[in-house]
Parts: sequence; C-alpha cells; structure tokens
Amino acid sequence: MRTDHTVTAPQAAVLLEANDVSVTIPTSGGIVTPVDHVSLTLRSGEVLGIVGETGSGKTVTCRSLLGLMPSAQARHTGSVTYPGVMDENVLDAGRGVMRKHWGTYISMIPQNPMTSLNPVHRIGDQIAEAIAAHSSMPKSQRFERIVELMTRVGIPNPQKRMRDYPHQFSGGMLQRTLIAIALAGDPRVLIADEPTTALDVIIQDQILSLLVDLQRDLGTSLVLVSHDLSVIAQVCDRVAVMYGGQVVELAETATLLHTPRHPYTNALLKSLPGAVPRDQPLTAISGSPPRLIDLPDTCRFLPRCTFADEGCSTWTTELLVAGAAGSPAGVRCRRHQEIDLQPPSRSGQETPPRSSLVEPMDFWAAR
Amino acid sequence: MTLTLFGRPSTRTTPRRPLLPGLSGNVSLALGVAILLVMIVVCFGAPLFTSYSPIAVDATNPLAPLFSPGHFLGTDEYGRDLWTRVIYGGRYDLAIAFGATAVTLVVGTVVGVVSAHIGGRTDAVVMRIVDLFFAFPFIVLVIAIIAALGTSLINLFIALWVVSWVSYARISHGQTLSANQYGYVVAAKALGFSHLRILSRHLLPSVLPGVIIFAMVDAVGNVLLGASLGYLGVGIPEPTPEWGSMISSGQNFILSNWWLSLVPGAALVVLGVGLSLVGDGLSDLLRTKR
Amino acid sequence: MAWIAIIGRRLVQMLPIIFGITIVSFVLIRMVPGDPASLILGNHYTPEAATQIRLNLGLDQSVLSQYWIFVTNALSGQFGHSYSLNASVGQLVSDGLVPTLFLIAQAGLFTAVIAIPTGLYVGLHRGGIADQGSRVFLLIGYALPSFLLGVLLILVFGVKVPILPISGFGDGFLEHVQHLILPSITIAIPFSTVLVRSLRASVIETLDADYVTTALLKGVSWRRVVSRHILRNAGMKVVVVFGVNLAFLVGGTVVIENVFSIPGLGSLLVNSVSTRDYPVVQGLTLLFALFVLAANLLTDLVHVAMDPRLAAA
Repeated sequence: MRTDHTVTAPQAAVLLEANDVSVTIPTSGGIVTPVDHVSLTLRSGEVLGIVGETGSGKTVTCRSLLGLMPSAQARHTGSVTYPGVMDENVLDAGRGVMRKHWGTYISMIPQNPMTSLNPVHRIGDQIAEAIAAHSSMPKSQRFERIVELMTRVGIPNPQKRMRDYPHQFSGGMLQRTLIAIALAGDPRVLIADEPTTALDVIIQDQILSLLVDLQRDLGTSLVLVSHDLSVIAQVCDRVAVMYGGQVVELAETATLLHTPRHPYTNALLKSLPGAVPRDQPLTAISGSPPRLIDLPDTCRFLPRCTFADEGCSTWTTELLVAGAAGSPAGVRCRRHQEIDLQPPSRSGQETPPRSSLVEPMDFWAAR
Repeated sequence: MTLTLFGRPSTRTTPRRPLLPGLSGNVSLALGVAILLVMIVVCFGAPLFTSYSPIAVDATNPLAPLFSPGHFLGTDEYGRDLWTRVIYGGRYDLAIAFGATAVTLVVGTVVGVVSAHIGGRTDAVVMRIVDLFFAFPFIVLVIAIIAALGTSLINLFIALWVVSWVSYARISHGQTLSANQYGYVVAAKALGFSHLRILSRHLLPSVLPGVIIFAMVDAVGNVLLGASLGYLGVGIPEPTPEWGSMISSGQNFILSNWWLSLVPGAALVVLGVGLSLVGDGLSDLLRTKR
Repeated sequence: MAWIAIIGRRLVQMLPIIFGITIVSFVLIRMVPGDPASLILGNHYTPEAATQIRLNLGLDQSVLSQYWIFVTNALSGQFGHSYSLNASVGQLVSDGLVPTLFLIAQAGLFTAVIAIPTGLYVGLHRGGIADQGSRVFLLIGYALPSFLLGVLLILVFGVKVPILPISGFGDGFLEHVQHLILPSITIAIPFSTVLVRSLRASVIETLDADYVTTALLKGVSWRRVVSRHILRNAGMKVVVVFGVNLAFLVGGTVVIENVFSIPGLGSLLVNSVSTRDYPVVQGLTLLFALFVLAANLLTDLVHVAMDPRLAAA
C-alpha cells in the first residue's frame, strides 16, 4: 500500500517546510502550548503521517501548515513556507495572501464531515464554489466538473445528488464531498486531519482507501493525521510521532516500526494489538499525557519514562539528528543511543497488519 | 475551533482579560448594587433629603428655572419642587422594579418547575396557557386589565403580576426538563425521595441561576412598562409623582423647561442601567461557578 | 407546492391559541365589577339602550352562548359599538389599522437597517473599539424608555432643528413615510439593541463553525465567506429572535403612537382606557394578539425558507 520509495527519495522537491514552529495561547489558566518547536518537511508525492494521542497538538500543528490559528489570542514563532510558491512565512501572511494558495496549492480534509458543510447550501453549489474560486468557466463546463469530481470520490448518481442538502447525506458521503471540494483546485498538498475519526468503522476503511487511491493517482502529497498508529503504518512513507506538543520522533515508517528510538514510540508500539505477537501481553503506558499548560523545557515524557536517569531531569529537549545522512529523521531523547528499547517487532512480525483495508467498494453504486 | 490567521491578529494580541478571574463580573455587580443602594436610600429616605412636599401646590412659584433659590432643579407648573418629586416618585418605580418582579419570579418559577416535574397532560395544559399569554403584546394585555380594573397603584401591580409570571414559568420549565436528565435527579427519583425533596434540593438549585439572571432583565422591563403606563396616563394616577407621568406632564413645557422631562428620564435610565449591571455581574459570576 | 402544506400545518397548530385569545378577550370585560351594559354606556346610559345592549350581548342567556355570540360577531368584524365615540368598533379599528401597520412595517425596516450592519460588524471585530463601545450603547439603549427617546427626538428634530414632522400621520404615502421617520427611529433603537446582541453572538458562533473553515480554505474571498456563509447562517438565528420579540415591536407602537399623536390603534387603545370604552378595548386586545400571531407565522415561514432542514421536516 505504501508508495514506492523512489518517489520519496531525498532529491524529490520539497513542497512544504515547517521550521521550528511554536504556537502558544495565553489563557486564564496559564499559557497553553499546543505546538512546541515543530519542524517538518513534506516532499513531492510523499505521505507523511502525524501520530499522537488526543491533545498532543496534532490538529493545531496541521492547521498551522495552512496558516490557521486556534484563536485570535494565539501567538506563533517559527515559519512555514511552500518553497518556490510561497517563500514568505505562511504564518505571517494574511487571509488575502493565503487565499491564492488555499485550494490550488494546499487543501484540507476536515475531522468532522457532519459540521464541515454549510447546512443551507446544496452539495453541488458548495463544490461549485470551490471550482469557481480559482477558475472562471462557463456554467455547463462547471457542471461537468462537479459531476466528474463527485464521480471520482465515489458519490453515485451525481447529477441528482448534487441537488441535495448536507442533511440528506450520510457521514461517509459528506466526507467524500469534502474530499471533492479539497481536490477541486488540483492542489499539490492535501492535509487530512483525522479524516475518518468521526465515521463508522466500515466507512473509515472506505474513506481511507479512497484517499490513498487518489494520492497515488494524482501524485498529490499527503499529510495524514491520526491517533491510530496502525492506520499510519499502512499508508505513510514517513511518520512524525507527537507527544505533548512536540515531535518526539521522526523516521521512515519501516524504521520507526522496527527500530523505534524514542521510549514513547516504543511504548506506543507495545500497546498496539497488531504489533505485539499474540503470545505476549500488551503493555499500557502508565500515567497520563501532559496537559499543555505551562510546560517546562525538559522532556515531556519524563514522568512516564522507564528509561530516564538523573541527567534527563535537567536536559532541555531538542530534536537530535538520527539515522543516515540525507534522510530527515530525528529523535527527542538524550539517551536514545544508550538505551535498549526491545521493540515488539524484533521478536516476530514484519509490520503490524491492519485488519481490513479494503479497496473502495462499489457498495454505493450497487444500491 | 476558532478560525484566525496567524498573521494579523496574533501580532497585536494582548489578551483582553481581567486582572483576576471573575473581576469584571464583580466590578459590574458592585457598581450596579451601589447605584441601586444609593437610589433606595435617597428615595425611601426622601424626607431626609428635602423639606418640601411632593404634592403640595405652591401657586406663587410655578415653573421656576434651574438653580432657583430653594429649588435647585426648579419647580413644575404647580410650583412643586422637582427634586422632591423625583426622589419621592422613585419610590414607586423602585417598588415596581422589586415588588412586581419578586412576586412573578416566585410564582412563575414554582409553576414552571412543578409543572415540568409532574409532566403529562397537566404540564401540557399549563404550558399552553403560558403560550397563550405570549401571544399578546405584554403592554396591551396590561392595559386591558387596567382598563377593566381601573387605574390605581394596586391595579397596576395586579396587571403586572397577572401578565409576567409566564416568562419565569417558561424559563424554569425548560431548565427543569433538562435538569431532569441529570444523573443526580434520576438517582434521587430512583431512590424514592419525596417530590418535595427532589424539587427543593435537586431541581430548584439548577434552575435558580438562570431565573435570577433573567429576573434582572425582567426588572428593567417592568420599570419601563410601569413608566410607560404612567406616561400614557393609565399607570399610577396623579398627583402621585411617578417618573413616567412626570415625563409626560413635563413634555408640555419641553421648549422652556426641558429638565422637567429629562431629569426623571435620566433617573429612569440610571435605575435601568443599575439593574442591568447587577444582571451582567450575576450572570458572569454564576456562569463561572457552574 | 409544499408551502401550502406548511402554512396549513402552522395554521392548524395555531387554532388552540386563537381559541384561547378569544376566551381571554371575552373574559376581560366580564371581569369588570358591575353591570356590563351600564359600564359600556357610561355617560350615555338610558334604560332603553341598556336593554338593547343586554340583548345584543346575550346577557340574559348562558355564559356559553354569550361567548358564542362574541365569537360569531368578531368573525364578521362586529366588536360592538363605542358610545363615547359614537361609532362602531369595527369602523374605529379599520381607521386606525393603516397607521399602525405602517408604523410596524417602517419600524421593523429601520430596525433591520440599524441592527444588521451593526451586529455583523461588532461580531466580526470582536474585542475591537466598536465592540467595546457598543456594549455601552447596548447597556443604555436597553434601559432607555422608548417614550423618553421619543421626547428627546421631538426636542431635537422638531424644535431645535425642525426638519421632520413630530406628530400626526399626514396624507399620502410619502407624507406617511415622512411623519413616521421619528416614531420609527424611536422604536427601532431600543429594539435593535436586542437584535444586535443576538446577531453579534451568532456571528461569533458562526465564525467558529467548521463550514466557515471549509469555505475559507476553498480560496474564495473573505467577503464571499461573510455574505454566503456567515451572514446567511447567523441571520437564520436572528430571524428566530426577531420573531420572538415581535410582540415587543407591536407593543412599542402602542406607546409611541401616543408620543407622536399618530391616529393608530395604540392611541385608540389608550384613549379607550381613560373613557372606559370597553368594547374598543376588547376588540383591540383581540386584534393585537392576532397581529402577533400573524407576524410569528411570517417569521416562521421566513425561517423555513432560509433553512432547508426545516422544509423537509
């Protein structure tokens, strides 16, 4: 399922670069830091996964890649650029500047399809708005384009269903519509923020398959956010593991699964049913993830880490370069070279199998 | 999630928030209470602040200008001291603000909570009656009742009581229905607690904050309604001073003695602002508590 | 068209309320202590006229048949005779109807013109200077009695800068509009505080909606996002608030007609109270309630037209 590695070789063009991005929100309870010194790159044709628990800063991170902020009070440091297209800092650009890139260069597929379409406008009109935003074409041609997009994302009977309102659509159909909207301007980068979390389990697989298909066919780059490592493992070329607002490990998917370097990544793998051989017990991570308020500069995982020593309590975290030169990989652990994590996959299976990642079904067409 | 761009808002963000949590609520509450207290003291202690009578006519000195000797706000067309009439008249407007509101608050809330608790057909009938009252513009219904009973202070109160309990019934009814879903109310019912205990211990506390916040808004409404009726000549009859009727009689001299209307008018606005500030403060504080 | 079915259904839902309204209006006069006939006649009392009235109202019959007489008469527009004005109530009401409806319409329009841009602006610029300033305006605007505002406007525009008529209704459409400018402003300012508050709140809520993010990320202009997605959806909620507060608008006309001496139903109502003209009070109470119901029906229909989810239900 993963794309061919030659596509994502280091020489492929960089489409998106996040450099040391931090987002802070002052609140009455203290300063919240949902994104803390995050650096990421996305290459042409690549699928980059961002995995982490709820509240680890995934959503705010991927929204910042589009220049969106969680609130008017939020502040930021660092930069996001789209090399060659938008060399100014995306984070400093206004709505007026970003407008030119939204839809055509970068698009987002949202977390909750049920609330992401305007309830008072017809499905077709909402897709048409995305088409019309960047190209002026005669009405008949636009109609053709709507039908084409709806067909491409697997909405049956588009001529009829484009006249429906969102409340007449199921959650899966709404998410397909939103994918059509995201694709309307032929973007080069897609940001999918937990695109299947709000859907039924069966529909989740259909949507994920659709996304992977589209990514492969159109050659789009994809940032896929998920709290489910097994989803990420199936789909992504590289993975960024987030914990407490920080990227704690960044590596090629296979490397990450076989030789995790950060204790948190390892703990995550050990708690994953598919990754642990059947005869071994699953291990829960003790303690709870940090609240993102007034955090110290030391390691976020320290209170829960079984490998920590005295030095860890004073170490200011930074993303240390790991892996071969030229392959962007890093780990935010000062002891990553000393400790023996004994990852689960060393004792058995290749990669964690995912139960059923089905191909897009003709389920709807059959009805 | 709020949608704002990185750039513009974040560059000038000093978050607008009080120095201490809850301070803004406390400030408007304190300001509102202070305004109301001053008004209550001055109006109900009126003899301490003036030596004139609010109704005794002085034919020798009608329409005295501002800052006349002995009458710093002047006199009206019957030579009555304006300051005296304003502070005596405030008694009636304050009485409407608190008296009319307090009664309807209690009656309406009890009706709404009990009706929702009983449920079934009784509840349906009670709420249809409430709907019926809402079909009339309140002021028309109040005027109609006064028309039937005749104009007097007590009839004004009766009309306000008859008409405005329905708002409290509707609000407390809705909040009781949602409180009924809470685990602790369900548990209390399952444990077989008496109706009285469930109502007083469990339902009422969850209904009261909303009702009290509304009561402050309603008090402003009642003051304005009472003053409007006074202005229209169907409220508290002359020669009793009341701010609304004073504005109306002063309107005849709007060209020369404009303050005859504007001073009682300003008093009305200050009373309304005081009540609104208390309401704002209470809603801030009660909301943070919940 | 499905509209007929929707309107029909709402009308049927209204029937119990309409029934209740007739009962309230009927009971109001029966509340008066004493003999209704002599009260209705007032100074014009003669034994013959009193007998005639008793016959007309069916006072010698049961309460039920009295109510039946009242309802059938009301349905045919007969609310009795005003002895103090020596005219049929139906005639008096139809004379006052035009100025009152005109005032309600113009005041409603003015309210929309004031409230919609203001609410939208302060909602979109939350925390800005306009927003902070509007809080003071809302606080005072809500506590300001409408008749006092009317008196102030008369003082300023009628006396100091006499550019607008300050009383009456005038002749012909243009004069009507002109005469009702100050009264309409007087009603619109306090009423718009209610609407600005709710429009601001729903704009702020809508700004946070996921579908606004979706629209923005399509790359369409901010102006289009505001008009097609924010204003449209926030407006839907405001229509509901408008409907709920329509009774307030209608009630406001009663007071303001008296401030500006407009010969409408509100002036008629207040005069009838002082002359104890019960048939007029009764007829007007009924009529004002029907106004509110009709206006509620109208806002309901607008809401349905704006929200496709309701049309289906």
